[in-house]
Amino acid sequence: MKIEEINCLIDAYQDGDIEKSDAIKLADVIRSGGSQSDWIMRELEIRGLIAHVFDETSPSRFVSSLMARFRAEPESEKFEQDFKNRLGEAQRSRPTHHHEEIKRAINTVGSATEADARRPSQQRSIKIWLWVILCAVIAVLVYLLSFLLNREVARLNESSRGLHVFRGNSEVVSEKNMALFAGDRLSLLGQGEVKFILQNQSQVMMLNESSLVLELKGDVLKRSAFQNLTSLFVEKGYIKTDLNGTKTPLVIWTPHAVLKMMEGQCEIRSSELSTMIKLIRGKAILSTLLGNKTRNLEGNLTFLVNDAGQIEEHRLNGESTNGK
Amino acid sequence: MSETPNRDEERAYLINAQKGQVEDFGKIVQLYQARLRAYAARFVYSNDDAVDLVQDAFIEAFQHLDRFDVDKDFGAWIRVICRNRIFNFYRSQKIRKTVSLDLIDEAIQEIVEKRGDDSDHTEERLQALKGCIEKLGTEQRELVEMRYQDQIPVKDIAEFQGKSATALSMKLMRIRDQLRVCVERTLKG
Repeated sequence: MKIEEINCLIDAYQDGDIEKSDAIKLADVIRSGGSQSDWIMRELEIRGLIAHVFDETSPSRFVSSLMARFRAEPESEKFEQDFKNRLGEAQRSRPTHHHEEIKRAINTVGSATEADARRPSQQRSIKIWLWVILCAVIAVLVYLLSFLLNREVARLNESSRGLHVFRGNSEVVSEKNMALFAGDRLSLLGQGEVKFILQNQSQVMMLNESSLVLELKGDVLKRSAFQNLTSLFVEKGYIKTDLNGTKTPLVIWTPHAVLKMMEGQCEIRSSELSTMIKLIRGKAILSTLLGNKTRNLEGNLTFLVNDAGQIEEHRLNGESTNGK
Repeated sequence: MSETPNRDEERAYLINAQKGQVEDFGKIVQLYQARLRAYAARFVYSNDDAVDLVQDAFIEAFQHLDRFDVDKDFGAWIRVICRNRIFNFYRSQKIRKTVSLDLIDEAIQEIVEKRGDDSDHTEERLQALKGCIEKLGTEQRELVEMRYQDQIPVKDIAEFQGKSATALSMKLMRIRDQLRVCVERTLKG
């Protein structure tokens, strides 16, 4: 195998995205123990070291978290040991069958007496439980009613075989031109493209392995700047948006950032670790969830927000414009 | 990074730690943690996994500290513990990974077990590597940050930069080669 091919396979392996046939090939080369195997081990070493250079766990934080574990773990072991000792003692001093019958009889009498004494408190507890059940019923009714009164927020324009639409706790069958409501969760499994048009006429395209929720009003959107605006929560994956002459801005939020778009086109890719925003044209305001940093964005740039709340900016040709 | 260990001071900390003084063992951790984390990083890609493995190794060392001869090299001893932890880690990975990833993990584990390399230059290597990364051009550095700090998949970076994944993978390989040469040159002085 060529080194270039091996290199790509190592990347696929580290990204958890390697085909079984390629994995077998790579594993064979590693096991061969030859020069290519040495090269792979050197590659893994340098990759690990580079990742370690960027490790933000400071020495003092490492030591303090380790010390916390030290204090916690001996205690849990001591507790476990004490428990085992107590269990052992209890088993050794277990009464005979005859004694046990007497003890059971005493316990029954004792329980009956205690039950009499407990009755008023039990009644109180029943009342509390009734209130809890009543509240739960009301909550369920409100929840169901909210679905009945729900407004349509988008319409499915193009569907794909892997699309799953979840409404409440159940999945609904997706079909072209179907209405989508606030709270609907769209999940595209596998490869494909799904297009829908929001009420403010923004066009949104979901691509491979994406998942988003329409009009999910999380705490972050309770800020006055976002209230009453059309919103999407991109849980993960890749979406493209096109706002052409839309009346109201579109708010797109991800696990790391909130983007308020007034006009233009953008692409968003969100993963657990970061959100990449490619503004092709138009204007937008980007806010990070962590650290609450805000940037005014203009077209032809790519922005990356990582899970530490840092914003990096890149030109579309890959050239960087500034740091964090 | 860690402080330079003073042999007598270190011995005193170890004796106190053997008597159960956790704080003194904390000082030993401070002396060795960076070197051990760099050592683990050679075999484990994820930083979080590397940090966990090293912490586990220190905890195991503390639990068996009574067996350790304070006149011997603590660094070598903790490294052996850490290495065993790495093997266990590869074994435990089987539970949560796919078959494809398992195949490669097993092959790596076999090779790591065969390799008798316990060299202790990793802290120096790490320092040298830091310097070399700082010397990279802005574009290269940003690419390295995206890949290794933000851990963005190659395919995703490529898509956003309008390049093919293979081209980007090769670009990253060339940067790593450049860094490797720079590190060797720095270590040779």
